[in-house]
Order: sequence, then structure tokens, then C-alpha cells
Amino acid sequence: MKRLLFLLVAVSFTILMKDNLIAYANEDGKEESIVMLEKDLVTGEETTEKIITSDDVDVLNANAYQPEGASPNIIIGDDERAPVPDMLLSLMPYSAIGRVRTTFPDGSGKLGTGFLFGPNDVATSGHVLLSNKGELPSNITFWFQNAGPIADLRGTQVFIPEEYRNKQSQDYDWGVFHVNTNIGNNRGYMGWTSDVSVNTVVQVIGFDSVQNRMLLAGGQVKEIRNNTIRYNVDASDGQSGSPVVNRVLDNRIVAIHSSGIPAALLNQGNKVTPSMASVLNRYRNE
Amino acid sequence: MNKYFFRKHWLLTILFLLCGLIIVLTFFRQRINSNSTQKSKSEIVDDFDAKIIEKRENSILVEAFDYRKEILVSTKLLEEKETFSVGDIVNIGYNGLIEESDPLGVTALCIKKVRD
Repeated sequence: MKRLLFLLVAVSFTILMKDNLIAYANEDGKEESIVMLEKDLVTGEETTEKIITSDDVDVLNANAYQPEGASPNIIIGDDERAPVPDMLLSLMPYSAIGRVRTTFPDGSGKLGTGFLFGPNDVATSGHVLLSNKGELPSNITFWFQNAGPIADLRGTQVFIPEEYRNKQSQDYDWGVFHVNTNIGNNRGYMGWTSDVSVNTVVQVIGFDSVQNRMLLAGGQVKEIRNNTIRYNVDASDGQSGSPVVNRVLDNRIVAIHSSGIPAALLNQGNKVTPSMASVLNRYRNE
Repeated sequence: MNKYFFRKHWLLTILFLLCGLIIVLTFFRQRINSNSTQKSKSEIVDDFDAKIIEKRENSILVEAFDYRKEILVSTKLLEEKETFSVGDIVNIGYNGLIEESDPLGVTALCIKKVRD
């Protein structure tokens, strides 16, 4: 009888402890803070960092950086995806947008688009940075269409929301990484804003894998959800991670493009939330 | 002596019942969670037919007939892991979102074999 009771107490204690641990983990997932999973691509070491979410206007809105001589606000017509002319590739915002190739420990890889949001800081989609086995990449390459003699840049550290790695939640399908040079000081880098509403005109600028070049398309925001926006802008494979830009606001992104919804004939991106803005603010190495 | 014995016996009974209650509640909670996981099938908002061209751990690479493109299909959320072979024609149900990386990606909620 005593042994049975001891066993019951032990089982109950284990269950209670397990529930407490789950409750603690859920608290981290709230919007007051966001836990970022970090991987050092040189050492392979993985750690986590809890970032406090801020509603401060200076966090929710950040200016783009444009090197001297670059021309701002080149508006190209709405609703048509068109190749970005070569002569514009060295101008903002195109100069800050490049291709991302990730290689995972099992040898598989993915291609997407990324954009500079700081001197050596690149943002892209979470699913570009995570394998189907839930692994972070062992190697990241970032390069520009008109790089000329500039060699491919290598990722040094990668960060994705823990929520995305654990649950592959579409609400957290974004991530960032650092590259090995401050290339953004020469090419410029994007800012961000959480200011977006239905009917806002946006552009998606990214690399299409079929045409193998940078394409631009414009359209309107049609739906706004808690963490995502949906828009009638054309996009296709290879464009995950593209900046969704409100050009009226001087090269500030309002979302990071992630996926298409064939049934609704819309595309979707993860909008700039206080969580995302706080993370971008934390990892921008100015 | 008797009073002490009864008090001890009473405490043991309460403890016993408490432990039993915790285990029973946990069991029902897991049943509820399990039911909510099964709801994922009702979250299927779109589907497509495709031919399996490669099998990987937690995913299959398919050629989608509608899109005429290769799509990497995550099989992580599938509850029933039916065995598929390269060359099988399957119908894939998913939440309607296609990740626009290269390769394209979807998370399968249901995969049915259409024909071998």
C-alpha cells in the first residue's frame, strides 16, 4: 500500500512539474517578449535570447539608409511584375536586396530573397532559414545581382523566432542573419514601419528563380491580420523573404514576403509587428 | 493511539484521492489536446495532385500537376504516416499557403494516394 502510494505521488509530482514547465514556456511566447533562437555559423553553437517587445515609436519605425548619390523614390507602375532594369540595381531600394542560399546539415538547401536592414544585417523568411527537419542552416550565402567583383557574402550568425522553429507558425515566418562585411554602408539598407492599412499600395521586390533576376510588382494590401498582411501583388518561387515596401515612406518595409494563397489569388507577408520591429532594432548593427 | 491512527489513515486517503484526481485530469486533458490536433484535417483549405519524385526525412519532393512545379511537402504534421513510393500519384491537402522559396514548400495536413 505504501509503495503504491509512493508511486502515485511520484507520478503526480512529475505530471505537475511538466505542466508548470509548459506554462513557463507559453509565457515566453506572448507578445510582451519574443524568444529568438540563435546559431553561430562559425562554431555551430545554438543559444536563445529573450527580446522585450517595445511599442516605442522609434522602434516601430526606422529610417532607411541611403549612401550619397543614390536616387530615392523611383516609382514604377502598379500591378505588373517587371524586371528591374540593370541601371537601377545600384540604387536604393534595389541595391539593398539580394539572393539568399541556405545549406542545411543534411545537405539540402533553399533559395530565397533577403534584404539589408543594417550595415551587415539581412532579413528574410523563416522557412528559408529552417529545413523541413527543423534544423538551422550550416551555411548561408548572400549575394547581389550586380555585385561585380564583390564575392558572395557569408552568413556568420542566424536568428529565428523560437515559435517558428517549434511550431512552424505562419505568424512567425521570418528571421535575420549577419554577414561578414558591412556591405550596407556602401549599398544602403532598408528601414521599417508598422504603419500599414487596407488599400495601402505596396511593392514586392525579389528574385524569381525561373527568370533568375530581380522582379518588381505593385498592388494593394487587401487584408490585415494580427501578424500577416495579404496583397494582390504577383510573386513566385524564390521571392520568399522579399521586402514588401511602401515606397511613399522612403524605402521602409511594411512586411516580409513569405507565401502565396492560390485559392484566394493573393500573396502573404509577415507584417512589421512590435515583436518583429524590436528584433530588427536589436540586431541592426549601426 | 486510535485517534492518531485514524488521522493518519484519513490523510493517506486524501493524498491517494488527490493523486488519482491529478492523473485522471491529465488523462482527459490529453484526450482534449488530441482531439484538437485531429481538427487539423478540417483546416485543409486547398489541395493538389502531384507525383512523388523524391522521399526525404519529414518531407517528400513532388511535381504538382496544376502548377507544373516542384514542391517540397513537409510531412511533419501528418498523424497517419502512410507509406508512399517514388512515382506514386497523390492528392495533398494543405492550409492554402504555399511558401515561395525555391523549392516551393507546403505543409501537408493530409496525403491520399490517388494511384501507384
